[in-house]
Amino acid sequence: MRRALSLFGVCLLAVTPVPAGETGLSYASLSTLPDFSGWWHIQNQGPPPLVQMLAKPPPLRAELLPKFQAALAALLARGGADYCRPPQFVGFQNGGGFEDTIEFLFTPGRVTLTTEAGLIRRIYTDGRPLPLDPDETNTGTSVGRWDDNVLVVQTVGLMHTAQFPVRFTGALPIGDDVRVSEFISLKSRDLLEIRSVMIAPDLMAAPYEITTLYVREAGYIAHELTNCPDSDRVIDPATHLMRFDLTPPADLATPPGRR
Amino acid sequence: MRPLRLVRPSIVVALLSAPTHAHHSYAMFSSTHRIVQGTVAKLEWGNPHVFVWLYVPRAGGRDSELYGFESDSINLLRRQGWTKSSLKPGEAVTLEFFPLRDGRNGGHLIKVARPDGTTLAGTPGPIMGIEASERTRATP
Repeated sequence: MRRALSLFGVCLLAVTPVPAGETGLSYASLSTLPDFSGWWHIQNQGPPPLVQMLAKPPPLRAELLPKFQAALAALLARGGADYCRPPQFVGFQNGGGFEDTIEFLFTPGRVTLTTEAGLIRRIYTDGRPLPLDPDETNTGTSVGRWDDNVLVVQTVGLMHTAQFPVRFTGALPIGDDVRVSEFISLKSRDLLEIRSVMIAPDLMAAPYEITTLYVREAGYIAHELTNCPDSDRVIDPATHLMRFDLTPPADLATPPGRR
Repeated sequence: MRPLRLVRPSIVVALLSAPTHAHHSYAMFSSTHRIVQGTVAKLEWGNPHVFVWLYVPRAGGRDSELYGFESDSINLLRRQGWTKSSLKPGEAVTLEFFPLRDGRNGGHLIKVARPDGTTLAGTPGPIMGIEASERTRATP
């Protein structure tokens, strides 16, 4: 089965080559592309990805399903509790959580997808092929092409230790040879759809498809989100264990009644 | 082998249907709502958790105790209308929170109300998460 999935992935990439067309290769031609500008926030109406997974479980390998369910139960009981891990792409957006706001930046031959948590995906649209033996990175290696108004993205080289569906203690790793195809398009002027098809032979018994909607937030100003501050009052950086540090800041206002 | 029990989807919906920064567990907080009145000692504006420090008068006394309340990350609080100057030192407020289970003076912020009736809300995800965590704990 694992070999069959890998072959399916190779075939999927083979039948959708990236053409070296003009669109998107010059600054002038960027204006002809769909307007993905601004920040996009995940649409909260309807079930979010994890809930969709419960309603329609991912096609996990049978022996992994109990572990997946146990990890979800543990997540409910004690929360995330991971500390200072880099954002990672795991096959669909918001790999680091469900709160990430995303943006697309168009430059000739490249679309850059960033998240508020600091993930930067460079999607090359200049016609280059995917590497046959990619290095593993937190973003993977991506190439894209415009199929009419749909940005089709193919990604390989994801970190095999990246956790599915989001990063938390006990979540399953996505494993080796993961291949992801994404189909990104506007459903209306301010509604964006990302349909992802993930092939993960070590994790899934069949290709996994998930669709996420985003709403454009006009005028939104992004704010840095990081779990790696100099001081974290809730997770101890040394032990990665939870705490609630009530050491007062040095610059508190004077208590009432005192001068 | 004892079959694993599936998590009730309704709880997961409550936990994850709103923006939530799943940085840590909510197990340290009680789902009981508490309210204190006091004056702002500091709004500690930072990631991954903004903290509000409050001087709360001791019962019947002129002295006060310092309380610390966590909220969510900057980006999520900005969505709720907060800025780094939303609360001024010395400002009188009423603060609703989930108290720490260990009895120390602090907890997770639910909302802050000013005397003029304006309020600053915490983020809904953790609020529902704490309540969902409580329900999960109560389920044998």
